[in-house]
Amino acid sequence: MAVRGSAFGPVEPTACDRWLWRAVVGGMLLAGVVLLRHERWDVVIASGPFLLKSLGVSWLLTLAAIGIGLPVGILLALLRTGGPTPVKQIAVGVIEVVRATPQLMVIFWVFFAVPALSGQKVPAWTAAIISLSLIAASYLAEVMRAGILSVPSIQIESGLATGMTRAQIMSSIVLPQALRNMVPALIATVIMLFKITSLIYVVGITDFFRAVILINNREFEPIALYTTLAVGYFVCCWLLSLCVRQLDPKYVLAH
Amino acid sequence: MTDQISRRRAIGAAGVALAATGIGAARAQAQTAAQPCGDTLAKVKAAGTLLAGVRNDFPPIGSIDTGGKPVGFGPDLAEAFAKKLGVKAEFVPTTSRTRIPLLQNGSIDCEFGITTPTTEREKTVDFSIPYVWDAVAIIIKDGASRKVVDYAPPKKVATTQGSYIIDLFKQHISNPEIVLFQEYPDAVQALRNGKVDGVGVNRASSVAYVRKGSGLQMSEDMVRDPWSIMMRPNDSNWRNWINHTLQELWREGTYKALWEKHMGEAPDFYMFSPYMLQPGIK
Amino acid sequence: MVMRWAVIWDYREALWSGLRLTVEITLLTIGGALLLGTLIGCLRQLPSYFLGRAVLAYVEVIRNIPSVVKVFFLYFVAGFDALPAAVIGLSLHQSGYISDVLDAGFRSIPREQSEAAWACGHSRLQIFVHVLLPQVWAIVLPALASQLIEIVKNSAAAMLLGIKELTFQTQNIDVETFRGFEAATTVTLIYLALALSIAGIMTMLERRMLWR
Repeated sequence: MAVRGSAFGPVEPTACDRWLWRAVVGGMLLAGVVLLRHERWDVVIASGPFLLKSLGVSWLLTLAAIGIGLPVGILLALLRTGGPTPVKQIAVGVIEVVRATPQLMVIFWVFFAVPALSGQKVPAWTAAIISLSLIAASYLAEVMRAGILSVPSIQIESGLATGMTRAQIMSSIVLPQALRNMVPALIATVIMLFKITSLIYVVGITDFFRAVILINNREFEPIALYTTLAVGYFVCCWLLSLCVRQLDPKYVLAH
Repeated sequence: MTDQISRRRAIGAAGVALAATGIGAARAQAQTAAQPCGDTLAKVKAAGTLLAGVRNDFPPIGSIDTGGKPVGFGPDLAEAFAKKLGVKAEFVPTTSRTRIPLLQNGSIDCEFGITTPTTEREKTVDFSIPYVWDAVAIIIKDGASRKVVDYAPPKKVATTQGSYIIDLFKQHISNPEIVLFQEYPDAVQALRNGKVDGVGVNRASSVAYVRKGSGLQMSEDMVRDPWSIMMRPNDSNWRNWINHTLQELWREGTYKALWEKHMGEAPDFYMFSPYMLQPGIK
Repeated sequence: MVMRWAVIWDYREALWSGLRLTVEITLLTIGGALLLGTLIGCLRQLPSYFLGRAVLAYVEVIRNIPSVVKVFFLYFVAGFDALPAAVIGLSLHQSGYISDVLDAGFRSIPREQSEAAWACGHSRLQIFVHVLLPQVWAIVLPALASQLIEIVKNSAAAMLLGIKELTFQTQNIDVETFRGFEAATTVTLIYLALALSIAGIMTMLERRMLWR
């Protein structure tokens, strides 16, 4: 990390500054270790495989949601920017409603709505993936729309001038650039979805969050277990956010 | 500005769309006939697997070991049932909220959980004869009063959302102040932190929480609470098979052995009736 | 399953009390998050390497842990009561994002203004209070509006602690009547109305600021 900026101009750290900061961070970590050394970490280690498996479940849900949400989101974004007006209104409606509703509520709504609307009953996993994909699609649609709009309009006009159809322009000029521009935002949405999978707790799927609570139920060591929970989420999300910062240092993570 | 106007109209369109789905779904549902007769027994035999719903948040009836495998009285009993049919038992975790939807959508063929056969629930699912006679009491801290009536306000009692223990509280305590959590572990943790004064729970599962040295004990019983195996409605073959197998396992001694293994004592109840098994059970 | 929307009318008292609790949690969290977020956003502007890094670390820790984990930690480990735990946890969560929004706002003010004021002999504090702060509010209002809507959304996490707000009431209606779909649809529309009203208020504020 080179130079921190502030409203008054760039801040040049001296060597003394850097060492002071490292000392403070080291000191806090040491204090944490000293204070927590009496907690029952053996419980955490014994349940290690189970915790890792449930962490994998969280990741599986995240990636499945992105996998389904990305094409749907791109479709929604295309409809919103280029579709006929009634279609555009419906696309905007879906995106805005899903983005304005609490994620917990979206999960409950899908959990109730899918059996009610389709007449058939569907398992909890399917309902969970549908709701997460819905959330992913609506956020990704906005990201995609920003990406599409970020392509300079002069390129579209040149394309039209040379006689290309709108579809051709979209597929060969706009989309490739938009997709490339939106990679940092895409990873940020992955991080956001990973955090949202902690809400799947209410549907009964054993993700990382629920796994820790189940073990706590049996062992009653909330301090050690909840700390592991927090650290687990922090490490996963932080590593990903470092990737984002590598790709685009100016990107402000909005979520 | 145009963005805002179209946004408002779009949200209006969304509201209309939501209402339209409601009406459309109502029409679709009106055409659905009554549920046909199922034949789960044939299905299980053909598939070679018994999909058994078990709890993983309610030791010793159902919990998970460190490897994540379901353990407890429910899973063991389900295995015994599957062995009788010559099929494999596959466990599906259920919670108080998901047990009925999972049954209705076919994810499980039966539930070996902690479901009390209330008349309200019988509108949507069917129940076997009671397979466990438990009791409901309140987990309280060591040294607190063991009388249930003492837990009127300002004391707070807790249980899970949707549990019928809420009604039990209202019957035994005047104007109870009930705090509802999503899961029992959350409620017990709140008790340990002093946020609530008691957690209404079944005695069978209190075994896991009220261990020696845990600082918790049980109050007097509120009610003796039957649990049944849950299954889809309109399926007499399946229900009869489950009822008969349950009593056969009782007669063979398998049931009592499993109960003592998980509860540490012999069961203080009988299958089918307090006096005898169903006439005709071999 | 046939639709029975009349059930919603039967539960109007429950939904109304849930709405009151949701609004209460939202307003308290907005206050806490704005206070904390503004404080941290301003701290970040001080020309101190140490403070800058400390604030960055705080924001990273807050941002990379889900809000439910923070709320659970405060209630089950730290021992706060339900409502304080929810409000403090959600305020902490949102303060990280709000400080980021303010930081972006400060950075978008052209540095020439601070330099010109500096050349005129004003102190750093005077520049901050008279030049930067008034402008930053007008700049960040749109982004702040979306943060406030996030607060409304995150208030649903309070239901996991037993607080009987709107999402909790939806669940309640479902377990008592199996009419989850009708309840969920109605409550989604209520949340939409809440979000729209916040957006409307912020737009009004924006317009009044521009008129100055």
